[in-house]
This record gives sequence, structure tokens and C-alpha cells, in this order.
Amino acid sequence: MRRTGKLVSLLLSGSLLLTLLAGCGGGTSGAASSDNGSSANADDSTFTVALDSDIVKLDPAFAYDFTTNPVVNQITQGLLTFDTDNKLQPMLAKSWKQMDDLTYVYEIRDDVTFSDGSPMTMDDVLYSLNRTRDPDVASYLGWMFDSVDTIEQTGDWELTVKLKTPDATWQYFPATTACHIISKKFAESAGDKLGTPEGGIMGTGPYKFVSWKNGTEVDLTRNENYWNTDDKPYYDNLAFKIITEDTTRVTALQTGDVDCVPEPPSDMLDVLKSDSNVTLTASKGFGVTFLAFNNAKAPFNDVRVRKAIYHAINFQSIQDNLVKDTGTTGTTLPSSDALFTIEPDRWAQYAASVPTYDYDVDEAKQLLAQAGYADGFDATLCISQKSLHNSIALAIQNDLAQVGINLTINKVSTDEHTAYQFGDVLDDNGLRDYDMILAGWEADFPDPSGNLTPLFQGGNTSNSAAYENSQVDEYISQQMQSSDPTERNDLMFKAFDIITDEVPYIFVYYPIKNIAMNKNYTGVVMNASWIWNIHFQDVHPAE
Amino acid sequence: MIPVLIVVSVLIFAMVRITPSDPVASMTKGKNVSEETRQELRVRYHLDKNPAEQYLIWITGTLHGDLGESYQYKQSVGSLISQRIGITLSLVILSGILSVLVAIPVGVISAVKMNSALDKFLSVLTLVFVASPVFLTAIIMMFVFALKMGLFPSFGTGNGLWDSLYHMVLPSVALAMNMVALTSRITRTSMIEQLNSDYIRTATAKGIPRMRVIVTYALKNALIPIITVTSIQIGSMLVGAVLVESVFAMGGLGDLLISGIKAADYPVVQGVTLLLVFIFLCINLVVDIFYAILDPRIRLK
Repeated sequence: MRRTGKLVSLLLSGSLLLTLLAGCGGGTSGAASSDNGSSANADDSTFTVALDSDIVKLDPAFAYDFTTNPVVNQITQGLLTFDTDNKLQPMLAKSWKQMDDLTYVYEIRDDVTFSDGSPMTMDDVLYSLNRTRDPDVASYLGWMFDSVDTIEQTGDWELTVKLKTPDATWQYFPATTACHIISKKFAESAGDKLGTPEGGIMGTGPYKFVSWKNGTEVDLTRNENYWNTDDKPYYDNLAFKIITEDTTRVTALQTGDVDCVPEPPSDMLDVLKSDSNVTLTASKGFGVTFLAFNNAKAPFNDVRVRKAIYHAINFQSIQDNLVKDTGTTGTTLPSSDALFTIEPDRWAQYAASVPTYDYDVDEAKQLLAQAGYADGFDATLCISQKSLHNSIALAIQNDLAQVGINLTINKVSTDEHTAYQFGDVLDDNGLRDYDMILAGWEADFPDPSGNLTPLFQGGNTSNSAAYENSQVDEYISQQMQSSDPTERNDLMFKAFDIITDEVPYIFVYYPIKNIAMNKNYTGVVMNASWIWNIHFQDVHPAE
Repeated sequence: MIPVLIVVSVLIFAMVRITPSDPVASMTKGKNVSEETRQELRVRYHLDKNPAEQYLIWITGTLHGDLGESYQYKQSVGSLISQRIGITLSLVILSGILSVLVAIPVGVISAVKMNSALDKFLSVLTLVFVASPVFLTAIIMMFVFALKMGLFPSFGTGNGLWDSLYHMVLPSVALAMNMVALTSRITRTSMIEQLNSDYIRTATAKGIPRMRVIVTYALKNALIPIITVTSIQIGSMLVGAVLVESVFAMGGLGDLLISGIKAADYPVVQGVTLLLVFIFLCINLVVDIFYAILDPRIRLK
């Protein structure tokens, strides 16, 4: 008895000790955050946001996704910003002017301070932009500077950006994380650790960095030296909780453990809608979910086959029964009217004039017979793990069986799907290794070319249809070089005249963007540009 | 142990590279990134070298305590692991203790009251436990105890010892359930065998109190298979912990491993897997020592 007893107690006390040690180990890294309170319930000076994955870095040069940006946007600010109508507005630059096709001049504010109280100088501005531009930094946003020739200080507070070639999209980039300003002194002393949990980051925004517990949470607190006294945050602290599991993220909002879930999982919108403690705000986005044909491969290189498939699928039924209110019905254009940002009236007119391909099985069979596929053929469709995409693929498979096309669905992991979508998986002939792929694209900035160029320009990795049309390429590069909105639209319409007739893609639906908040809070406006302009300093109690 | 680890390291290294996914593509996914940047990333992470060279860089780094830099988090894998390992170990140890504390008494009672109504009830209950997937158990527990009853937090790890333990209750119970089931079944079988042995009959005949016969004589001799199963179970708990951590958003090693796999983050997957194998081997070593303490015959061999 005694011996066994001793053994058991040894075992127990040993493991208890380990637990305590482990508990403490976990605790120390969180110690920094414990004093400013991270429990949403217990502490009403903290606003808590749930994110669906960990952030990449606190460094704006790597902030280019829907979890990193909502955090970084609170700490660092850009030269410009987008308002909720996707229009450019001043931020750290109080005004800006386009002098000619190649020259942009920015008047930088002279009254901005970093969160340590030190003033922001032109040195910091130049350092930040050149750093993101530097290929050695390998910033995810470095490409935005591709057409930039020089960035120079041309006055006490004047910054001049010269382009190598005219680029109609440059105007938007100063409002993205590519042109967020960080403290040079801070960045140099942090060195390699900049933007990591140990190194942190210093910017000019309403909040400053406190701690980042890897995989668990990021804590920010009020920047006492915030330069914009009209824009002070209501809540002292911002906590971002990383909750990868969809069910848990939604449950945490329902129990009040978190206060806000940006872009909640679309298959759980019904749960959130029926919960009286949750407010759901929706906005149209710039994105599109598409079915891309591999235009480089037979039989999809035949426009009759592509049109036949368009006619053979009942997209209205997919919209009504599957997509429902998570998106709006697709047309032959690659975006909803949210992206018709330049001369919206002309775009609305143009959109009404493009051809449509309605559900018509007989028409589909006829087209297939003309193309020499009266008996149909075998084809593959590559899809990701998203449950909605799976349902859509099954509906497509079912519809195509009616016209003799035997569709095999190839369901791959998110990661592999990305590799397929961006042309990293090739077959023996060096062609993209799929017949069709169901995937998505979303413009990074409020300009119709943000979906046109990536999806249709020949040779782009994001051109999942492997579509090549020299005339279209010509129009795309011409509109890029023009600064005149009317001329740009004319050229884009010409490109779309060809595209809507050749249907390299079918645009299934345009996803709606949602944000779910505890009904006790208000002040966050969901909008298509939220990756760049979500600002939690505006949150305040409802009523 | 060292040769095993070397073989395992080669296997892990090869296996993470079998999938068709390209780490650079997943680092830059959905982003408009120039070929220049892609090449820059490839060079930075040695992905431009051939696999043998990559392995050498990784393994020499590992031997010097440097597991490389995570592709997605741009931080050293060592620091990612050290920030998270506490959570996973606490979770596994807590549920290990919990399940042993429940399973052994349940198993002993079932054996002593063999074929009684109580035994049958416990059998059915443990069968239900063993059949329910950890993932489902965790979600159901969260729904009932966090959402509906509001007794426990729905996710997270808490700050400070008591708050952390409070946050650990649901996850560790969810993780313990499967193990309770199996360990109690083994305890029951092993105990029945012991209780039917001659020496027990002798002891009972000598008039030694029933309780003492069961605990001191029978249970002690029944412990070897129980420890074997428990150690294997703790190993598999490391895997189960992956799911539980993910459901309760605890940010442990499991979360790290899953996000690493999703993003083709080779250094993270390699580092975490190697560590899990190492922990598993350590558990085996400890178990061997326990055998020796419990049974002198094993020590002699």
C-alpha cells in the first residue's frame, strides 16, 4: 500500500509541478497584456475584435490581408486614405496634386507625431516609402511601386513622386499600407525584429502596440500623443483575439466574449441574423467568385463550348438556393457596380448593354453540336474546401450532365487551390493543370481596372482562365497610361466588348461583405475598401 | 533515441515536400506580387537550393537550436514554439491527470462489481465517450456550458494561474473523455484478471480487508497494462490537443501546426512535428522507467 501510494503521489505531484511550470510559461508572455485587461466582459474600456487567423507582422510592408490590416491600420497611417464611399481623402498628406501624367506632389502635414511624442519628419516619410519599395525587404506591397521612378523631397514638407510610365492606378496606392509611415529611428533600432512580437512597431495612428501573444491575441492601447485631436478613440484598449475555428468565433460573439467579428463565415450568417444581441452590417464588395475555363486547352479554347456551358448551367437557381444573400447575381462583367467608381453613370449604362447568356439547355446542346461535341466530353473542375463552393460545384456537375458533359470535381486544400489558381501547378505540356476552376478575385483598390487587368491581361499569374487576346491587352495597357477618366472608360468598354463576347470566365456571384458586432456597440462602417480603412477609434456605445 | 530522431527528421522533411503546394505561392497568395519579390523570398528561405542542401541547412540549424524562420510569420520557429508549448503541455497534462483520476476508479468499480447494473451502465457510458470525436465533444461542450449556460468562457487561455485553469476546464475535459473510456476499459479487464488469480483468493482467505486486497494487491499488479495504454493515450492526446486547441482558440502547438500545414510553412511543420516526436519518445522513456519501478522482473531483464 505504502509503495503504491508513494508512487501515485509522486506521479501526481510531478505532473502538477509540470502543469504549474507550463502554466507560468504560458503566463509570462501574456503578463504584458494582463494589466490592461483582456476580458471583454470584465473591462468596459476595451473593445475586442475576433480575427480568423494570426497576423503576419505588425509591419505595414507585410500588411496585405484581412487579418493583419485591421490591426496595423490602427497603429500606422498612410499618406492618404479612402472614405467609406471609396473616395481618396487626406491623412498624413493634407493635400495632393497630379501635375502631369508622371508627376504627383504631396503636401505632408507638419504637425504629426509618433506615439512616443517625437515629430514625424520628411525623413521618416522617405524612409518608409523607400523601405517598402526596396526589393530586399520583399514587401508584399512592393509591386505598387513598380511604375515609380523617384520619390523625392522637393520642399520643406513637399514630396514628389515621379513615375517611369503613366499609371492610372498609382493615385490609389498612397491610401494603402504601401505608403504607411513608420518611425525611422524606431525601425532602425528594432532591426530584424521590426514588426515581430519582440520588436513591435511605431506609427502615428490612434492606437499603439502593447503586446502580441503569438496565435492568441494582439493588444493595443490608446496613443496619448495622437496628433489628430478630433479623432481620438473612445475606448482605451483594443484587443484582437485570434479564433481560427468558425463556430467558436461566432459563439464568442454570441456569449459577449468578443464584441466584433469582421467578415463572419457566410454559412453562419443565419445564426447571427437570428441573434438579437448581434447587429450585422453588409456592404457590396469589389470581389467576384468566378468559374474560369482553361482557355489554353481543348475543348475550352472553343468559344462555342464556353458559351454552351454558360447556357447549360442554371445560375439563377444557384443564386436563389445556394448563394442567397451572401452575394449578388453575376453578370458578364467581373464586378458588381461597387467597382464602377469612375463615371458611375456611364458604367451603369454600359453594364445594361452587355450580352447575357441565359439558362437554355437546347441552345447549349446546339452550340456543343456545332463545336463537334454533340455527345459531350469529360472535364475536371478544381475547387477549394469552402462549403458554398462545394455546393455550387455539385449544382454545376448536375446541370452539365444534362448536356452530356461528365464533370469530375477535384477538391483540394486551400493552399493547393491557391497554387492551382495562380498557375503554379502545370501539366506535362506546361499548361495549367485544370479544365475549369472555381475561385475568386478582389480588386485591391476602387478602380474598375483592379479586376480587369489581373483577370484578363495575358500572362498574369492571376489570369486563371489563361486568357490571351492581344487586342484586349492593348486596351488594358492604353487605359493604364491615360489620366483621363472618359478615355480610360472608353478603352475599358472596348476591352469588355471583346471579353463579354468571348466569355473566358463565368462570373457566378459578387460576394457581400459583412461585419457582425455586439448590439451594444456602433461606429464601424462596413465598406468595400475596409481592408484599408477600418478604424476602430470610431467605435462607441450604441444609443 | 538519436537514430530514431534522425530517421524521423528525414521523413518529416520529405513528407512536407510531397504536397504540390508552393510555399512562395502561399506566402503571396491572392496578392499582386512581382516575380522579383517571389525570387527574393525563394532566396531568403533557401527554396532555390536542391532538397539535399535544404535538408543540411535545416538539420545543422536544428542541431544548433535554430529551427529556421517561419514563412508566414517571419519569426524564428523556436520562438513561435516556446510561446505556445506551455499551453499544449498544460492541456495534455491536465487532461491526462483528469482522465487517470476518473478512469482508474471507474475501471476498478466495474471490475469489482462485474456484470452488475452499475458495470453495464459504466460500459455504455464509456462506449459513448470513446465513440464521440474530440472535435464534436468540444463543440457540444462549448455550446452547452459556454453559450447556453454561460458557466465557462467560450475560448482563450486566460491570464494568471486561476484564470488559466478556469479557461482550461472545458478543453481538458473534452480531451480527457476519449482517454477515460479506453483507460477504464483496460483497467477493468486487467483488474478482473488479477481478481481471479490464486494470490487474491489466498489473501482474501487470510482475512485481509477487501478494500486492501483490491487496492494494494490487485490494482498494483494490474497497473502495467494501464500505464502502457495511458502512455500511448497521452501520445495520441498530443494529436487530439490539436483539434481541441483549434476549437477553443487556445493558440497552442496544434494551432501552429495546422496553420503551418495550411500555408506550406515548411520550417513550422518540420519543427513542431519533430518536437512532438521527441516528446513522444520521452514519454516512452519515462514509461520504461516506471515499469522497472513497478515490476522488479523487468528491471532484471
